[in-house]
Amino acid sequence: MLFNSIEFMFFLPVVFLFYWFVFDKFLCNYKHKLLLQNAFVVVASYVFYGWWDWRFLLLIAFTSLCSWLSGVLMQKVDNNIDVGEAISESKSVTRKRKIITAVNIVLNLAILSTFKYYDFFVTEFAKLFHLSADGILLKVILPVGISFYTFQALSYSIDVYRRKIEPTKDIVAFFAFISFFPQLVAGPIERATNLLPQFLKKREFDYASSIDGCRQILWGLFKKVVVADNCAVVVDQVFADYANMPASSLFVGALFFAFQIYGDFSGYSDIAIGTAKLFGINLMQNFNMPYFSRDIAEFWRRWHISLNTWFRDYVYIPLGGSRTTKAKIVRNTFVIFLLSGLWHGANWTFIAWGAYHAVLFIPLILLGKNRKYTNTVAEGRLLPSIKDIVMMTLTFMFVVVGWIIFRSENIAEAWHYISGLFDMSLFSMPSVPKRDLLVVPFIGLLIVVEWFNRQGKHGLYGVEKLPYWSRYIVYTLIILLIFFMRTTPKAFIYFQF
Amino acid sequence: MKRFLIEIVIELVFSFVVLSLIYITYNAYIDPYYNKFITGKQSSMIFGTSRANIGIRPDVINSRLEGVCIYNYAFNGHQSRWGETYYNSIEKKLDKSRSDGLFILAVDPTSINSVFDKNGKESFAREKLLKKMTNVSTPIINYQYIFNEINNPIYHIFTSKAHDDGFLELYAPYDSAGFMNNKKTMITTFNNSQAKEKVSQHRLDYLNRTIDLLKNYGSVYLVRIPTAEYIRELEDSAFPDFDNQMIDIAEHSGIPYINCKNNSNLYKYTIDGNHFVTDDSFNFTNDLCDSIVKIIGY
Repeated sequence: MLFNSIEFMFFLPVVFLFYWFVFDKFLCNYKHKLLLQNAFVVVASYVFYGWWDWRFLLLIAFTSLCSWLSGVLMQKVDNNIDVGEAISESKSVTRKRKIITAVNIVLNLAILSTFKYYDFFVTEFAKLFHLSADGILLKVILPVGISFYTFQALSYSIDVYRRKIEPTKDIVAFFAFISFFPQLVAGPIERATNLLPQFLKKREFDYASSIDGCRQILWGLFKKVVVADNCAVVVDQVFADYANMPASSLFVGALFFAFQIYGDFSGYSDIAIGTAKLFGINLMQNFNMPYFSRDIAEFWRRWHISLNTWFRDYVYIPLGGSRTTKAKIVRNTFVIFLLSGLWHGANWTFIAWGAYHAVLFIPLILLGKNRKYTNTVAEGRLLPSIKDIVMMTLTFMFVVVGWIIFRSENIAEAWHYISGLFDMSLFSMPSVPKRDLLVVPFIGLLIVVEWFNRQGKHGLYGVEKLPYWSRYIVYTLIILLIFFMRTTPKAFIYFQF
Repeated sequence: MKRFLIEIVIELVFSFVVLSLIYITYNAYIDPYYNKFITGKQSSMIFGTSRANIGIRPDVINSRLEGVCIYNYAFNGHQSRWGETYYNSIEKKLDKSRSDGLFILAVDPTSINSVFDKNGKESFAREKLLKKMTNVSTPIINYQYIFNEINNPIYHIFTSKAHDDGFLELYAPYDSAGFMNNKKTMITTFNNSQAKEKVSQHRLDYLNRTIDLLKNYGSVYLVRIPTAEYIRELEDSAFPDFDNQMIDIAEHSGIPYINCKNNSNLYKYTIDGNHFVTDDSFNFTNDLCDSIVKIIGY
């Protein structure tokens, strides 16, 4: 079910009303109320996911079950140790816990690899040895959101192993944690330490948080429907015929893709976080105005935060992070960026995109300047300084080049596209229909609104400061824009990851 | 919770009312086809693909032919090829209380073609709009269309306007350079689509059924609208039997076939060579009226 679909317009209020009125108010004195409410979240989430393809619900259920069992087994191992023996010092306990975690990780990654990477690697291997891979390819469709919920499940298992969180016996709460519909198919990839405890205690309806959630949903829809989907019209034209396009069109196509992917993915995250707020659940921030970054390191602290912190905590730091030799820092940085690229999909373009960002990032980390910009740009000021503008523009252009690699079908296309930009036709009129460029004012609106709310958690964060009636005018104008700027509903780009 | 629900409901109702008022006031600009579903049932109508939607002006016919109040119920080459879907929609839109109507059925080779798969199965997948639109004559506002079918950004206000009588006016002045430059693309497009399509017996049958239905409610005219010369040549070479098929259908049904395909040079076309520029929609409709007047004899 798409967030920007008619079905979701009906699904959300129905689930909301049942969640609060039937499973909270109506059953207020029932001792298993929380259990039922969580069970309802699981059912609603499975309906949400099954709307796309119910067969893959088995995968989610299996992933959830394996990860939950890993926690239960680790707890059992802990309970079986001799009295007086310090848990952390018991080698046998640690070894058993390690084995349980490893088995769970292998199982989850095996499922992910089978569906996402098997055909890619087999094809590439066959190509290398001039063999035919036809007979051994699986050719299965990629389950929507598999990378997201697999990583979420893994985080639980690893955190239990690291004793950052107590394993839960509540299987229903755990299934709700893995399948919670707002973030099931495209994140944010939640940590068990943040989300699971919220399913283990009674949720309270909070007026201010719910209103803010609605605002965030509205802004997310604006970014998706008005900006991303309309940019996609131009992007698809340009990338489909890039070989015959003047450099100016290629430039416009690349810029538009930067806004398409931002509007699409951060829009999804806004809707997910906003929707979760309606259910009394707080999800982590996934985007923090990344195009206002002044260097690549800052960009990566603001873009897809949940994935990047996942790689930081579960891969980069265990490898030694940046408190090691320079050679290892370079290796560790490459590892997380390449993995991050591969996480997006089984294609060399994603790996090249990761490598490209690693190359941009490594000089900063080696010079110790990767944390130069940890504050918000132009903090306390209305407008940025000239230096800020130059740094933001440069960073943005580097990011745009990365997006060309990301969006291309293959490396050759990316190369031709980028080399096609260096041509005198860059100064000609772009050869895309002028009416399709009418999305530009809305990109402008996105930039302006987010600039003024850059210290907030989303684009409409500051609206609450406006007088009561002005707020409603703003909401109505955005709703009208969403209605009048609709194109054919497009699936969110990150569903495929 | 109570305060939250009240505020949300107020906001949604307010937005809904504003949205409805905008749709009611500016319906002509919303979408090329929206207007067709907010007018009542019609006793005289123009049918066909986009050539008819953009090419035949009801206001001209209504001013030329006495007592006629005709409505343009043509759509485009995806939605309104002859067939069961269009037939059902026409039946819903038809005012069956009168029998003195005028019906102009614009035909062209595309309108009787279909895409067939490898197993010879005919596809009607493109006809989604008319298949889904159960309510084709809602007065004032059609929420079924607004919520389900409008997938075009408001940019339409810069390119076209749908008239109350169903005619679609394009804001596209004659562009001779664009016309010439686009020729190669159009020939490629035509050849690509013809490679996938062939004449459909289903569509021919339903063209006959549509004529049989409409004959009960008035006079029916089969019309072939001209196109740019190179498009006509392409169509003639791809479908050499088309005119004979239409003549057979017309003779069998006892209705006139007004074949204007050889009048290509009398009119100017948009850059796709398929549609008249606005002024020539006016001129062609006038010429069509002359032909009809000749047939009726007044």
